[in-house]
Amino acid sequence: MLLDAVIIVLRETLEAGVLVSVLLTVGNRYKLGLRWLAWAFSGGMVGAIIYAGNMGLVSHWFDYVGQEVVNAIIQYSIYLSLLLICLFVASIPRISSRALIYLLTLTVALALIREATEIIIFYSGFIGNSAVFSKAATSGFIGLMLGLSVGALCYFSIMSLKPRHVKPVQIGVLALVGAGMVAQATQLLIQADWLPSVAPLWDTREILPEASMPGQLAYAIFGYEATPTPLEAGLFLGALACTPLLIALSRFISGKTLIEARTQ
Amino acid sequence: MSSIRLYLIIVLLSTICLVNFVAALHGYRSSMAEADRLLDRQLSDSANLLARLDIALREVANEGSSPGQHGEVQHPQLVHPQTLMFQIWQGGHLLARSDNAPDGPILPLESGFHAHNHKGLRWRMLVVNASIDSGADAGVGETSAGNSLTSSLGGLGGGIDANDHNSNKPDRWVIVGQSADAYRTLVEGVIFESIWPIIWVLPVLGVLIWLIVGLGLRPLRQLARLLEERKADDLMPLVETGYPGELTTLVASTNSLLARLSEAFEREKRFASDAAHELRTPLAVLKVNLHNIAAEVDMDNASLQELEASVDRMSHSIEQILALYRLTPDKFNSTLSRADISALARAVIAELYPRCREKNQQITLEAEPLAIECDAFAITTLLRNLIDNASKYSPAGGSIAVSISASSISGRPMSTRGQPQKNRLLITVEDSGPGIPASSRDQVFDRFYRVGGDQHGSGEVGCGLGLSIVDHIVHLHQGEIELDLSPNLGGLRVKVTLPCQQGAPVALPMALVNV
Repeated sequence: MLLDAVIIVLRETLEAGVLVSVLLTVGNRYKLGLRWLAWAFSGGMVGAIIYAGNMGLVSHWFDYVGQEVVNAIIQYSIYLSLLLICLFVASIPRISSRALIYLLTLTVALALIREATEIIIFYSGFIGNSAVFSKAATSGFIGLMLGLSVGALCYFSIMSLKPRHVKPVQIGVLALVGAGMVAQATQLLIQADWLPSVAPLWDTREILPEASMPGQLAYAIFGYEATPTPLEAGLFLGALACTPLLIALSRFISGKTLIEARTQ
Repeated sequence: MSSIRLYLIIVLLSTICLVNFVAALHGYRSSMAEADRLLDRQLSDSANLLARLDIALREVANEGSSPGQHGEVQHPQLVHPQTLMFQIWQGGHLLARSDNAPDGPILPLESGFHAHNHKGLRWRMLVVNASIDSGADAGVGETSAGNSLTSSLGGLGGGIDANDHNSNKPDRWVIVGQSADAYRTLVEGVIFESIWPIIWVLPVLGVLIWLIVGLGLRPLRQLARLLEERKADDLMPLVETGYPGELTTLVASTNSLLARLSEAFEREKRFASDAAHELRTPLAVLKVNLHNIAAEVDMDNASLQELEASVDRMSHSIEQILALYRLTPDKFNSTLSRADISALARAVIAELYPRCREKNQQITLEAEPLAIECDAFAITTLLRNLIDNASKYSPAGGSIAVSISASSISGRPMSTRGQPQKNRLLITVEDSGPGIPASSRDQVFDRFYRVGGDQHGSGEVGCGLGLSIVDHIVHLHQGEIELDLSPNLGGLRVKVTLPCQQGAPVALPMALVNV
């Protein structure tokens, strides 16, 4: 029970911790303050409570696979937000700081809705049994502290990098986390039978078990799956490749526009 | 990184949390695996024990397995804890069972460990063929406790052989199980007890790290305070001893920087004053020669006047630069003395009076005779600049009003007579000139700034240093200066407030001077 609670909370907080810490470094780079984070946390927590409270209703949608489908939609949305943030960080479309604040707030709020809902649902099962709840809460606290610690260390590691390395690291981590979100969302749609389920492409459970600490960290950073289907692996790689391709394309277009403007 | 202390606390606590909790989880996993091995060993021991009860059981079975009143076979039930369950079978007959075990076989009679659900509980079960000899326990060797079990059953087989085992003995099976849920709950409880201190110690650790980091950063804070409290003109090197190794390099670098700064300032000051001194004499000669040329040669009047004005401007600039040099902080502190400001004002007005008379200007001085601790030369320069400016920019026939009085700071204690204690000196100079637009009032204190730029509309000689010098003197005396519109004369009003360094201004006999 202890390990189950730790793993459930750790899996969610680790993912949110890594994501929020990288987004915090983005906000810090553009001197956006911390107000957006407070809004994102408030909105995310309220959203998670509402979502968890209505999970019974949601799970009846789409022929009883509503939870999987809604979670997949949330994760695809996070991926799209992260893609836009990566483009902003790469300074291609010169959108305003206000637009970046909205993007950061939306991304963190969506991530919190996704992650906190799982935790709320898990703990709501122990309400009424104070002895078990106490043990589960203690285990959850360990998972929470592990997630927060990794997030804090991740934040300070990026902040301590040389300025010229910060942007590539931010884009790299965000692209990995985003591709991981796509892989997880795809897995959910496979579970919901919305996508075909076929034999896994490989099995790395022996090398890196998903339940181990490095496995959890790999899951948090790039959605590690020990037995991915070809579709999951393909979409992961496609989503990962999308970020540098879009950045290169935007640079090409903006460079071309600049040359045209100069020649006119 | 906004604070080293905060950074260290967060990073240290995060690292400690990470290492401690990962270690705790690893410990938990190892403990649970060890507990599972222990449970298996305990089960095999129980099986061993139950097998040794064989003779007694057989006797009990021979008596107890006779049909009862209703034709049912009665099996002996042994006393046992509720978390343990067992059955002993021989030749397809149940010899004995625990009271929580069913009459039928709990599990198929296949040697080895099994997981089994019974009455809503999860059980760890061991099935042993007790009739075979020591080499026949291979079926259970695949479990984690295989080695122990082999050894245990070896003993069991030996025991059976020694008592009554022979080749014609029917198959005898021992099934023993323990509630896995109860066992794991017990073990988890023990592990939790060891994890609790790691959690509770975190806040204590946070406070301790806060204090220790604060202590470690104290030399840095002391150095920062030392530099912060230094006066602007204090470029003396810092004492290099008494700092930890990490700060010694910083202190040495700061000292090196201070030395270079000091040299640069000194060079700048020397250059300005030397240049001004060197230019003073040739300029005086130039002025004399210009005067002689004007008297001897028939020159174009306008050109001569322009040349004279340029020389006057240059001469004025040099005097102002010299005044600035004389007012550097190192010279200022050494010349403080008690001086009567009214007397200084009278002397300045007397000095500038010929110029006022030329322009037919009226100048009044309303002054309380007051003495304060100040640099008399600096205050004279201040008054000269202010009155000279007022005269320059007031039109012919205009008016200039100078007043000197004691004033008080609101909120200060009342004097013994119930009046606010007068602890400041107020110098006001008003004129009937065009004044200074509100938008330019901050800029006029910049060096070489003139309202309207180089093409100053008044045509007066000036270099844009006058108000800068005044502002500098006011700051040296830790006073305040304010520019606004004169309500009486309509021009500029300059209000200079000087604090009294040592007590209130000393009142001297009253005088009203009207020039």
